[in-house]
Amino acid sequence: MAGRGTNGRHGSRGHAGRAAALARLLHKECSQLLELYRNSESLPSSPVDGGYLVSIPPLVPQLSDAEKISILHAALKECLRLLEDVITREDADFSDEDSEYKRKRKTVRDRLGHLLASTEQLLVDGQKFEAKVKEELDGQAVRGSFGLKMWIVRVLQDLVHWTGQTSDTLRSLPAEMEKAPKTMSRRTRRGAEKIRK
Amino acid sequence: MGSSHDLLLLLMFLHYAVGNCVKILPDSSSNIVLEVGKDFTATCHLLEGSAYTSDDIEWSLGNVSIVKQSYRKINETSVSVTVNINSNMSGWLRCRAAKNSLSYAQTCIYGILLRTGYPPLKPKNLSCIAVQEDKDISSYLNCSWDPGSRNPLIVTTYTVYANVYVLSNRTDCNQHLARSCIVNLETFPIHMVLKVWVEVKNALGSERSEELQTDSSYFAKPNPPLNVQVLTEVNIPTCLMVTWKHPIDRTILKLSYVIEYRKAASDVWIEVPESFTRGYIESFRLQSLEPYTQYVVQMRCIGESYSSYWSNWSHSVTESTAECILLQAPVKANGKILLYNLSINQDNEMFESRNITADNLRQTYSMELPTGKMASIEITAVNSVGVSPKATLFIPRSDKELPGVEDMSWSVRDEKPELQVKWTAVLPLHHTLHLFEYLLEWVKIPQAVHQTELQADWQRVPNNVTITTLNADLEKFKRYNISVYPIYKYYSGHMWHFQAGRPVTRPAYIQQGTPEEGPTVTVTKSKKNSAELTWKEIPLDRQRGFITNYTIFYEIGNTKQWKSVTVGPNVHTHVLTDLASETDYVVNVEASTEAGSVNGTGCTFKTMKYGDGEVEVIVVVVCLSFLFLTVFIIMLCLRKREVLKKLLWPQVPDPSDSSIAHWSPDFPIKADLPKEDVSVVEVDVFDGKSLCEEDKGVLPLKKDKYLSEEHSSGIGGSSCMSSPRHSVSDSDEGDSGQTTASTVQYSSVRASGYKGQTPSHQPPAFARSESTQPLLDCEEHPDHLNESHSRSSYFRRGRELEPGVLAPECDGGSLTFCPVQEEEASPVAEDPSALCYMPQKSGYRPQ
Repeated sequence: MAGRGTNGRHGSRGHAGRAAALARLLHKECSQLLELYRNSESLPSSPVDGGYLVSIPPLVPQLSDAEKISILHAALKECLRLLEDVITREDADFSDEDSEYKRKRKTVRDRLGHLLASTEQLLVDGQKFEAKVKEELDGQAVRGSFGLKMWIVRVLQDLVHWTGQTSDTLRSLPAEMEKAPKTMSRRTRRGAEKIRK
Repeated sequence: MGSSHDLLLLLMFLHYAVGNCVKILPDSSSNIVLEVGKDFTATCHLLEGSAYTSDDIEWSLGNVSIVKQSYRKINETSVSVTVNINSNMSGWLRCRAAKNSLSYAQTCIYGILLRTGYPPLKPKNLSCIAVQEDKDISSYLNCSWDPGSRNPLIVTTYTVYANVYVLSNRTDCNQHLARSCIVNLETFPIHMVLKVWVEVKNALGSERSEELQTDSSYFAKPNPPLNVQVLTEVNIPTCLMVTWKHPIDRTILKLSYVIEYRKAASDVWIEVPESFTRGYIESFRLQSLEPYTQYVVQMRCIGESYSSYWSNWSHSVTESTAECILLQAPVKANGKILLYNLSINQDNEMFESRNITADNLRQTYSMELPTGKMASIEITAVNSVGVSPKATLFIPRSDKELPGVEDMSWSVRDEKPELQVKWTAVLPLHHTLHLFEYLLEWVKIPQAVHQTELQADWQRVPNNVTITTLNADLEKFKRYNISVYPIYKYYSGHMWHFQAGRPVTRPAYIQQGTPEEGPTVTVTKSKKNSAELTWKEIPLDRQRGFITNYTIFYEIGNTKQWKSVTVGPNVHTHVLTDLASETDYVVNVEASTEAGSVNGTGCTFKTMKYGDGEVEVIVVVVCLSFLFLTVFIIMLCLRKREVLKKLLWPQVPDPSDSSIAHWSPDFPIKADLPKEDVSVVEVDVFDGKSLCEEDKGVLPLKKDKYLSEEHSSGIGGSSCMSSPRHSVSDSDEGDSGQTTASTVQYSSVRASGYKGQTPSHQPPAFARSESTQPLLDCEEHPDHLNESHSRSSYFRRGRELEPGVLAPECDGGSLTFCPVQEEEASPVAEDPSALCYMPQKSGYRPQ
């Protein structure tokens, strides 16, 4: 290993640092994927209206960092599910030829899986948040080929958004978070419960 | 192919077994794998109804029967066998039941297939790498490990596991003794913790390597920096700008860069400190370079905080620094020199001024510099950028020498090694004379024979420094002269002058060695007990160090008993003492430095038999001895001259015996007559001196009868012993023919004493001659003869003779000797008429 022993070492960064770097990378790749898709489908670069497909509780300042990460983790999880739906639908409907878009799409999917695994290390035990998807692929909103592409754009927009949110949140974590305490303070626990209600 | 063959054989044996009556436990439908080195026990059972007993059972491995000692009879139908497994035991283990005697019973046989091997060893030194591919890290993780040197002999599989949290990837490597394997991670899990290990498994066991668990970037190897370019800084000739592009986005791997550069003419790379290139930069300015010089630059990169593998080196880029105006004296060109401006001044008056082109650098100028005057030579170099400042060389006044440093010394620092020089600072001088700096000069000596100019190098040292290290790559075993010059500065004639003080020089070696050759010794002087040896100093380029001493070894012949003498390094002549005389010696001289010694060419010599002066002493002693002997003999001769005279000149017969009276044979008068000597007494008529002296003084003045007689009658003619003497002629007037034809006996009788002493006390002297010269005076001038006899001599007749008898004899012309009798000299003198010569009237008498 380049002359350095690595057994038992995880590098100089902590879990949060790695997760933040990964979220940043993923955010960038999601943006590239969206761009690639728009270019490949000759779609306008302006965002598609209709808001984000994935909805989560608002990330109010009262929330602790752990709670924010938990919420974002839930959102990313939904994003991954939507992306896999997109991949399934695209592979079923369109040609199987290799393209940069497809390679990037695969990278984003795998990277998103990595980010979920990484942020899961930061989650507090017993804490569960759920995110909702407004419009599913099989819903009424998606009609026709153009509607599918618009829906894919919206999925990709959501990816860009939520990975960006995650990246920002993780980068703003204080140093203590690097140590990733697995227990939650009484105050944050109460706050979380309040939101859930 | 092999496995199908084994299967066929197995089926064949199963067929045997089914239709047979034995079986082996343990049994298997496939191979039974056994570990080498361990014992294996199998039991052969005779099935019920078999016609055989356990005594009929035989075991064989392959085609070789197993010895009975390995059998163990369990019961009447079972026999086990135990073997120690080795690596060659792969094959069929058979159990056979048969009768030794002829029998119709069917042979029972059964077999199991054994495979031997080793359990796997733990893989060691696992390492994995994922190289950069395009703009990302490749998803293929290439892992390698050391499987160990032992061949497991059986099928062994290696499996690489790469886990990212709960996500797991694995790859089986089916190569025999696999050393590496590639795991496809689908997408490289950057910014994740990656855990990698290898499991190895075969029928005899499994092992797992140590885990590599770390940030995945540690498995990544980035590409070298992209598009590395080196740009010449036109306005900064000591700089080069290096630019590059990141090979990978910082969101994947944030890199640090390393820049190396070297002069194109050098092989030594200089690395820019990593702290200078820390940060996510894409350009760097190399500084403190030499103007107008080609440099080669290359780069590589690594993950920030060394969090990845090093990339390979980029391709190297060569570029030159820009030309530069000469900032200092024209030591370095800093560009292409177009020409030099040279001016020579004498006491601020221009003597010579020239423009010299760069291709004609060797110029000679002559200038007479009177005592008390100084000269300065100024030179500037011109390149395309501009003119350099002046370099000035002052030739100081010959009558003014400035002081040098003191206590200069040098030492070698072992690290590199380097030569360190130190000295005592120059004391403060006159207030107008300032110490500007020191200049250290080193010159390698001796130079090559064909080299006419000294190759001197130098470096400047600030005036407050008194110890420094030479920035020189000095050669080992070569002598250098290290000089320290204090450089003084003073203001005169509206300008600053620089003048070097007296240099202090010390020879030095960066490392000393054994001399290449020893001195050749020669023997310049060899004496009886000593020898002087001379040898030449070893040439400087062969000394390879400071000669600490010379050691002279010498031995007698080939006795191998060496003696040695050690002399100082400045001694080149030595005298060996206490040597044995007339002995062969072998000698050689050994030269020593602090690093070792070497023998020179020896020589042999032989000491002398005699010492200095011995031969001369012997010669002198012999000569002196001979001289003394000669003198002694002469003295002896003188003292014993009478004896010698008698021996050499025997006594002439007494003429008195030849008397006529006794002539007649019938009248033997001689027998009766008493012997009577006739003495011839010589009387000095002048002053009583001896005639011997008169011979010298008077002889030239007078030619009287007396001297005529003297000249004609001397025996030998020169001896004083025989004078005075008178010639006696036996001539006969009537028989002149006889006197001329025969030898005439001459004799003279000296009666006189020595130097006027009274002859009466002298014994009579008698001389005899056998000259053939006739007595002319006596014969031709008988008158003179008589006259002279009447004046200067007289005869005294012996007592026994009658006067009357003698007179006629003298007159007769025949002369005879007259023995002298001293005692009767006076009476004879009283008779002046007595004749000395008595003529022999009766003719010549034969003797």
